[in-house]
Amino acid sequence: MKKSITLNVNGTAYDIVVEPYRTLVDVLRDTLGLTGTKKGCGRGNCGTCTILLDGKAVNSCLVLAVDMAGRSIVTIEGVAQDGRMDPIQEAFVRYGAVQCGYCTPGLIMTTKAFLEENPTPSEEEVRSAIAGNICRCTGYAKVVDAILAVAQGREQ
Amino acid sequence: MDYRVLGHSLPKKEVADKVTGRIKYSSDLLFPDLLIGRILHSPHAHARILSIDISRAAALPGVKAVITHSDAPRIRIGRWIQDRYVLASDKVHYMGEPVVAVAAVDEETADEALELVRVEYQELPAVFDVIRAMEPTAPLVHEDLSDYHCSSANLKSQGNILEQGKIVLGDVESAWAQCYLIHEDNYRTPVVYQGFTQPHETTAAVDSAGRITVWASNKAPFILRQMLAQALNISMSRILIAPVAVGGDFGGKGTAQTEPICVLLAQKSGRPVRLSLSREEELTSTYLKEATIMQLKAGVGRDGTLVALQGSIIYETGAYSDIIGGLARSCADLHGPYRIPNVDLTATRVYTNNTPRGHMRAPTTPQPFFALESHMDMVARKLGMDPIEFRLRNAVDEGDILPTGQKIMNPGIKETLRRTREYLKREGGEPKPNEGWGIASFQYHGVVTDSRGVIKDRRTPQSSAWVKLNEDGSAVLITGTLEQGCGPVSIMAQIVAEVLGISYDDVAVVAADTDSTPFEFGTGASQTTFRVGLSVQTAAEEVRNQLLELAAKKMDVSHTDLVVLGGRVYKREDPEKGMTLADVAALAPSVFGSPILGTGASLRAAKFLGAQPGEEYMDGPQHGTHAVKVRVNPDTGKVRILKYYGCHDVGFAINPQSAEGQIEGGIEFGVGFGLSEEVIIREGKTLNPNLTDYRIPTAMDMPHIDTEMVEIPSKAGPFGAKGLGEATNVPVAPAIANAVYEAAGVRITGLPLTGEKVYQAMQEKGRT
Repeated sequence: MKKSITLNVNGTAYDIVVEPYRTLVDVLRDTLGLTGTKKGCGRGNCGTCTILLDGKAVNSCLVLAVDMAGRSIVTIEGVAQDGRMDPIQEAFVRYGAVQCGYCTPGLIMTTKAFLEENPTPSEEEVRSAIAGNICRCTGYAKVVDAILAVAQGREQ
Repeated sequence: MDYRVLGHSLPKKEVADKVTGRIKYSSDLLFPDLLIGRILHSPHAHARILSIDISRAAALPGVKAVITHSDAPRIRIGRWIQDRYVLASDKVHYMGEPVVAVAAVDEETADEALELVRVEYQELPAVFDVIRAMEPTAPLVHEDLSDYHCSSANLKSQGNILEQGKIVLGDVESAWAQCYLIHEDNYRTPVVYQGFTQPHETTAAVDSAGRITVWASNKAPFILRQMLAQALNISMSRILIAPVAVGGDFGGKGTAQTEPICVLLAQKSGRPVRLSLSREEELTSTYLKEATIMQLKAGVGRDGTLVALQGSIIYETGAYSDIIGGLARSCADLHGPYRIPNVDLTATRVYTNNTPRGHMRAPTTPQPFFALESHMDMVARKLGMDPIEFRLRNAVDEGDILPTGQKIMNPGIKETLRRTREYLKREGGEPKPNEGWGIASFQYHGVVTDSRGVIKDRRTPQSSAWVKLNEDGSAVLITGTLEQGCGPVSIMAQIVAEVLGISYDDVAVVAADTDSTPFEFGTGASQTTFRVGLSVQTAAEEVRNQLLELAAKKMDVSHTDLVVLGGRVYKREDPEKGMTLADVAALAPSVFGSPILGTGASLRAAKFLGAQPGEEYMDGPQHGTHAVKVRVNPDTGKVRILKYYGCHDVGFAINPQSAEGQIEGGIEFGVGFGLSEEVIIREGKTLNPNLTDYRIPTAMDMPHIDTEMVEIPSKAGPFGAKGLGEATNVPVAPAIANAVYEAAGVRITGLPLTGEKVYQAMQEKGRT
């Protein structure tokens, strides 16, 4: 039996009708057309579908859309403000932290939540924070560089 | 040489769309009538298909197409050897083989339909062990193998042995007597997975006239079009492979896999279909990297000079092979970047009823180099020689002949060894208990050409490119190469900007569209910068020559007196006198009868000075040396990487940041191969088909990486550039194994170096 809910995504309220078993990542992508969030494994192993749920980084393949009514969701599409990239996005560009780009939205969302919580992390803390996001291209080297640059205010 | 655009770390063209989530991969394409495809896989490793009943599945509401082998022409396909059907026909050859596919309005309906399909099988004897498969009495995986069409003409298949290669030089048997020391050992590597974050995804649509459009996670659109045309028995003109972003490739996305199934579903349903593989399907039904069994025996003189090498490698290629034809090179990989007068090496590729195997980043090379570089380390240790000095003593030089017969030009091996020695002097430090450094080197193929500069290697056919000048003097590059993550398209734009004297931002790129771009083999083989770069450079130079010709005519001067720079053509001696590119471009239609267009092909470009008729050359074989520091936990055997250094000869780094990224990413790849990755297959069944149990390195597993680039220019490559991307993963696993030996005194000869293996070896040695 489908259910009617209101999803708050990137500050916009979406009234949708959804099957109760549908995961958030599928609804974001196929129902709302917000395809910036990627679905890499569907089981919470790879982190490509990471979004912000009430400010916390969450794998959107592990939560059901029907449970999200009244919660605040931010996806990669909501990170840039007024056409201006977030410092995290700018740092990923400048430091060459992007190769194939498939893990990039998830990594940026994880970083966004992490730096809110810990604005001045050590390298070890950065590595621990992004350990749930698999990146197969970069060896994480330039990703870590980019995140540390944002934290140290080199990317303002 | 100082360049304006080359040698600078400019951002990749598409990067802003990647950080904002705007870029579209295959499954990001939404259509109002989109169907979801799903595949039914074989539950048996070897069985005859007696019957397939799809009637109940087809009758399920919401199901729009159900297909079996009878929906496709009865044609076997394959990139090198045509050994499989799109959907299994009379037999299944491995557990996981696609048998039936459905397209339905959503995933749940499609999955429900698959449960309603009835397939009756008769199980057949299967063979899983590669040694057993080579015996004459083993069950045959492919009974009709001798009838299969194959691109490699001299394939001599026998039973399950698909092919063999051999290199013999000098006289190994009599050479052993001259050796001061002989070392023998056996090595093994497991099946591993490319592990791209984007799984295989295809979206296909068919228009009212029956023309097919495919948006696929595939880095070789022209190969895909060719294979689709073959599978469907239609003209290439009926198919468009349309450009779409690809989320990593690493060799696993350069051939037709599930794309034909998706197209058949779209044809039958008359609606667009999306077919995405789950990770379980990825690990059980796509082409993975071959497992190997290797043996090496090396002999050296008292001074550390290599005298003889005998060895063998067996590649277990599973039920279908997407990789045949390069076994002479595999023998050469067992030999490495060393001078060895007496050599006897064999390589064998064998079918089994395990999952199929294909390309993965330097497809057949990391395995032999794991054996060779582990072996060289032990030889050096037994001699009491420093491993770097040992390698320097034996490394190849300019003009040496490779075991495959080509003359080496511009090798970088010795310089990377010397830089590594310097690095270790700076960073090595005093050894602590349970810690140790290890090093390993590698050699990976460059481009083989004959004396006319014609590229010889059948694996690197021609590349072509067009450059078009716009009316305002900006340019469009039209190339079949595809951006799968390592930055090739942007590097090509840098080349065009440099040659035409315009800015990087003034070069737009049309890429990887089979209707509107010229043929390209695909982004791969570590030859994109080299091969595609040559064709792009040639095309851009042709545009520049046309500009010079037109301007010289108009200005009534010799074209040799003119310079093309800053969006103008002007007199070298009097820069005030000149024309804008826009004004020059406007002359073209009346003078040439057409706008300015340059065409380039790698064939025309690879010319060497001093080439001798009858000789073959390998310009810029890729060379590098890595060093790694590990700590082995004495209580668990667990290996932790503390520090990593990768030094590569890149010829010339067109985009240094992209080049560094290739080295860093290759090291992560190798760390997985070395420490944690193994697709565990027992009796044909894959036991760990998910990313929890198949362990790809995370940021916590990776150390800080120092990279260093040596630039010994190649003569043939664009601006001296050499290939880089794949082989960056080659020396990692042996370097780790050598470091583990240093730290814990145990030699692990089978990958991965899990804590369990290391601990067991330490126990056996009484070191725990």
